[in-house]
Amino acid sequence: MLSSKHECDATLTDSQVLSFCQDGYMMLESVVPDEINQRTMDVAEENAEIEPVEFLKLPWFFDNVICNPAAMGAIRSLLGREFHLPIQLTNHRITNTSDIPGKWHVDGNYRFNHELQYLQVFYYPQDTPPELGPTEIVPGSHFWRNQTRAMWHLNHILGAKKTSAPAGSIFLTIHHIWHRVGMVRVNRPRNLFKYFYWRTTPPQRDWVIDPDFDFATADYQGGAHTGNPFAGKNGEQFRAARDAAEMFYWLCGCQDQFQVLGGCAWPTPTTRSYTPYGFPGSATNAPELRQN
Amino acid sequence: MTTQAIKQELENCLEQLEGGTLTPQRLQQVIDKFPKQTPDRKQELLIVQAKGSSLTMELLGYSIYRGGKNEPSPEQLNPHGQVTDNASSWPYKTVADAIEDGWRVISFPNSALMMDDTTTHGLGFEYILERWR
Repeated sequence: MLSSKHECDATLTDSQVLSFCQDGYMMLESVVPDEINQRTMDVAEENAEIEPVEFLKLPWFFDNVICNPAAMGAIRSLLGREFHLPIQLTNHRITNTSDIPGKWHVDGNYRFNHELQYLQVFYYPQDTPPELGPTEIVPGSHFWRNQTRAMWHLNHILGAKKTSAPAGSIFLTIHHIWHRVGMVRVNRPRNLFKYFYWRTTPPQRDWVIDPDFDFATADYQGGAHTGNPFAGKNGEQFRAARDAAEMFYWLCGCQDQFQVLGGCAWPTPTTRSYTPYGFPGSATNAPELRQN
Repeated sequence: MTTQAIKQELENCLEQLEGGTLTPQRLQQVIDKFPKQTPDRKQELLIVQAKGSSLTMELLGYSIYRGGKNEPSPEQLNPHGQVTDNASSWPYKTVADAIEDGWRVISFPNSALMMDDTTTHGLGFEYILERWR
């Protein structure tokens, strides 16, 4: 019987956790060894089911993909200690080319709020360049409440991004990020495994603490200047900063301190001379907010 | 055939009728000049999502439907296209640009749907435009 919970050291820093709150995804490139990628491809050729849960019982797959050390450190940072491991697995395998764009959607059974209780994780066992139809995502869209049924007429979206990546890449997403299958333009199989992890403990700031990270002056808005495509700004002005800050505070375990006083008060991005009005704490104690 | 051309043809027929020279063949000739409802003429839909309710606001997204199908753009059909949607290759930057190019607005966004500012819904202000090709 393989373990159902996992514990390891958190590896993300404050800034990386905040970036995840803003973008709603994180790519970990080439973290699974080539040998494991090839074995996965071989088994996927023989078992082309959409839910090949037998993979979860294969020790080499469980140890190197499901419990991949790089992914575990990031997931531990976001879901806390003793997070729950996947109970199911899907392979979105495509073997035909397509001339029609995929349909944007959020996966079902979502819970729209600022709590990060679970993660939707993807794994590419093969090199997945643009022509092989990598999943397309809209960074920052996890805060947009919408129903899939109202999204199927959409095609081009400003700030959308292809998750092109080398073999062995794993990417973490917030479940309700907008995404779709890319158009496969070459005739070779594409495998994409998807599975979930869940939080089992209350959130707290127990990832890698950056002593220079300042809760008062952190850039909660994010945006293109960070180097990431970002569509969160497409909503109402400053909404993205509020949403990201609220999720970040929830992850720190101090959502009870989160407040929005309006106008140019914290966490609105603006140039300030002093501690921002409305900041839930003083500038001096900001770095220690709920540090454990 | 334009409305003005049709009017001119009918005025000519009227003159011929008054002069007693109008023939069935001449009348059929005019009828044949009317636009035909040919099956190859199809409605095209341009569905755009704008950042605000103004016709000149930046677009956040677009789709083009031809013959009822969501038509991929050339960059999507390019096997090596990156298609990170940064709008630089989009056909129009605003709704006004599309109107200038001959598209006709058939649906204006319902702003009542955007009035709850505690949550962000959907992808902006959606216009539907059409043209026949």
